[in-house]
Amino acid sequence: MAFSSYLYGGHFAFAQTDQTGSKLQAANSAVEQAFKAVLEAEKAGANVTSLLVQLNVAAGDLAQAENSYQAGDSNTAVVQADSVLPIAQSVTNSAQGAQQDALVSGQRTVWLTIAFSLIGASELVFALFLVWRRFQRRYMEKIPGLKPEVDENKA
Amino acid sequence: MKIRLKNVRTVLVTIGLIGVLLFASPTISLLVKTPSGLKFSELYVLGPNHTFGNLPFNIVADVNYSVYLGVVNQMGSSCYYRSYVKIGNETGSLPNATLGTPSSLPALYEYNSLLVDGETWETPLTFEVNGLSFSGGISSIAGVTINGLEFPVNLTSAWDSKNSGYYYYLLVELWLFNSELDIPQYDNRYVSLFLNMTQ
Repeated sequence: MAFSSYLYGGHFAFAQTDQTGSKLQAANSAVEQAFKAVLEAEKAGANVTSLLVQLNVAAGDLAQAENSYQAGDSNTAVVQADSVLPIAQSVTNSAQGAQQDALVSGQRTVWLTIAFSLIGASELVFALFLVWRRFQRRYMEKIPGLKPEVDENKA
Repeated sequence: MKIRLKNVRTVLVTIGLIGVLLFASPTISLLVKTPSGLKFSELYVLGPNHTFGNLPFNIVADVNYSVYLGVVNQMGSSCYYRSYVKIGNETGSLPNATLGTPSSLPALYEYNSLLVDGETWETPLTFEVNGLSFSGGISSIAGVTINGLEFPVNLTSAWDSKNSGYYYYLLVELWLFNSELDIPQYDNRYVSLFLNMTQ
């Protein structure tokens, strides 16, 4: 997939068949997979800022490796490409963990929100019903003591 | 002051309905998704003073020129950007904004940046033209050094009598990694600096 992405990117018109090319493809693929894991974690509601900071280091190393390769310095490119893999792998693992935590936390938040709405609305309705009953009772108690009023203008 | 039973009931029912709606609003917000705003990315180049002024134009060989390249993510989620630096002459192809296709020129240099929504990324871009020569109304450059790395280019440009100069351009294209298709795609954003080679 990394190889095809280079073709789409219009970067290379030839296949990267040498060792440096393979290393670059592996590093490129690792960063892309790590980014996808981070994106999934973000969709689940995780805070991915620190993960992206780490992945930016790997992506920066990958760009440097590509640039070294383009400039003809394959040895430096290999070293830089090798430094990408452990960071990208670490970010992938952390992102998957963060995604799981976010999913669990998200579920809990949903249930708490629904419970808040149901309990809050029920208690409000019950409280208003009690107020209504009390008012109604007092009103009824006052009726026998009331004198009928006569509107003189109408009489 | 007379209080009517019917009025009290109306007030209590109204309070009840408003209260139920208020208590239900957090749950409603979970179920109903509001439409998101316009999603886009920004790509910009600033001069050495972080302004639009003093952008390099008249270029002398073996002199280091500096600009700032920036990307802003307004896509509503984190994005993986690639910025490709290319150099071309008067006949080289620029990206086609209508078709959304990139320039066919090979990328010399690339930047990778991963940004959360709303984040701005900015980095220096230094370049130097190497092996500049002029002969018979034709200028040629043998290579370009970008951020300290030298790339052979072997480009030529004829004298432009209309605009009085030997013109090349430095192009930066913005590409975006599409996580659904698993490929980087040209984002139809580019900036170009026109460069007049001088002796």
